[in-house]
Amino acid sequence: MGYININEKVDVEVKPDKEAKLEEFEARIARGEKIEPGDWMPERYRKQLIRMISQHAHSEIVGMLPEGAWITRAPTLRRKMTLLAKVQDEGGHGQYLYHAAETLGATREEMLDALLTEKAKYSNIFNYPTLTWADIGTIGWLVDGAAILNQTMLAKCSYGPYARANTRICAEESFHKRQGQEIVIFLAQGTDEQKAMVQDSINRWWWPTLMMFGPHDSDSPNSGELSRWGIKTKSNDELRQMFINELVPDLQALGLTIPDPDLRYDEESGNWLIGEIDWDEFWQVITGNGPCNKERLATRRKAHEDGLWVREALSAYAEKQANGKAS
Amino acid sequence: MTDTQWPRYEVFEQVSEDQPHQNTNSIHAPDGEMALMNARDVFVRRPYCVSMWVVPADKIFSKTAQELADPDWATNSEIESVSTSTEPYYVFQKLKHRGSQTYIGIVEAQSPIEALQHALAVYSEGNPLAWWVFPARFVTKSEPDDIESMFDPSLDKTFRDQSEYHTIAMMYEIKKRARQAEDSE
Repeated sequence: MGYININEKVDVEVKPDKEAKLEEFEARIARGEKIEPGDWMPERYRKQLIRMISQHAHSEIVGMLPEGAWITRAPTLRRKMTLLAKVQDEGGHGQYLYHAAETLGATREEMLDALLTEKAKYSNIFNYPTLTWADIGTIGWLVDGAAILNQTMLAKCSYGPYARANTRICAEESFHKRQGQEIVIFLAQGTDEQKAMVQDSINRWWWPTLMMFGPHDSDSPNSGELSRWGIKTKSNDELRQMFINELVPDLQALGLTIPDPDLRYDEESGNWLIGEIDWDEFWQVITGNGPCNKERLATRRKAHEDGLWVREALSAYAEKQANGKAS
Repeated sequence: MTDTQWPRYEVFEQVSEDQPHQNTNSIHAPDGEMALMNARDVFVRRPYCVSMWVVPADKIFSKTAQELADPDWATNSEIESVSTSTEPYYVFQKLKHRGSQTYIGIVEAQSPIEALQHALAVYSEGNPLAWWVFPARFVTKSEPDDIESMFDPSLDKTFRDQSEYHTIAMMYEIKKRARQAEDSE
């Protein structure tokens, strides 16, 4: 850094220049161009992306926990290998996403620290417990299915590194969704006990999954800006409706009941319309009072601390190798 | 020892021998060797890699087309050092908006700026949207001998593939049976 702060002077004198830059930036996005690290971007674009991407990354990492709990209890070897592979994928997705956030200037340490000290959020859905094996099917089909709709949209977003991370994630998530759907199909056609187990699972996960898409559009203050900047090109309610329309006919065909007495098909719009979402529950969970918030973070913290010796050993080895080469 | 962040390495994958290396993503690791091993675990869980390269992210000299539009880009660029002799630099470029950084060739240069100037002169066809250049000596690579142990095992793990789960056909059959049952009533 030089003695004279050139940037400060430029900033004060040529504000119209900044507006021209913003105009050009928005024109690039309108033309479908991707913004790459190094390109000019408004500070708010950068900050919004870091917020979104790091939350997305944390969700992948915490998302390993509810399903990981069932790896040792999977009913067959095939299911066990599949679940192991799926949980490993989620860890990988977290890595892809932290990388995308790093290209915007956030550091890995800052982000992990924000998660472990409860400064950062992750998807509410992972604060619910996995009580039965059927939950593994429901999470794969419903929760990952919902995530795919969101990530398919983000794979087209205006920021290159985030778009590329989502493209890769979507390809792998299709496997997650299908293995879950297969579990639900088998259980729904199984014994009375299995049918009851999968129905109970749908009863518990249906509403929390619908909440994953976030508050109604009328309550989402950031959506105008995020849409204009090509980050979130579909609204929360649009994505939620796509999900409902996709899932309702399939669940009903399997003889499963959707836990919503107000659910009805609207001939005019071709949409399945749902009853009221319990937003009090949503806000309770998001502010830290869900069934598993404390347990999830305690597990993450313990994993981070328990891994310290591995990180130390690798650093010591690298140092020794470097010194060996130098001498 | 404090729990600090390791350097970031950019990762490049070659999906088959007739394809160039492409940037996949990045990984944190204490050295190039660990970076290569971690990258293999994180990015090659599915069978599509024959060769992998990693390079410390801070050794990459990066410019977007927008940055290069500034006629003074070379004088405004901060770089670490200029060596007295030339050395090979790898050149990567991004050609399509939806694409990623892709290997295009090697240039000999004394500094990253000079390497990019050479690259601009030789490889500008297709108007690349962004460029990466870095000295070849900082790259850690997998060897052809590593394919069997590093990449082949994923070939057998077909259960990671969505096509192993025939849920679309299953749902189709279930709905067809339901319709037939309705019709016969």
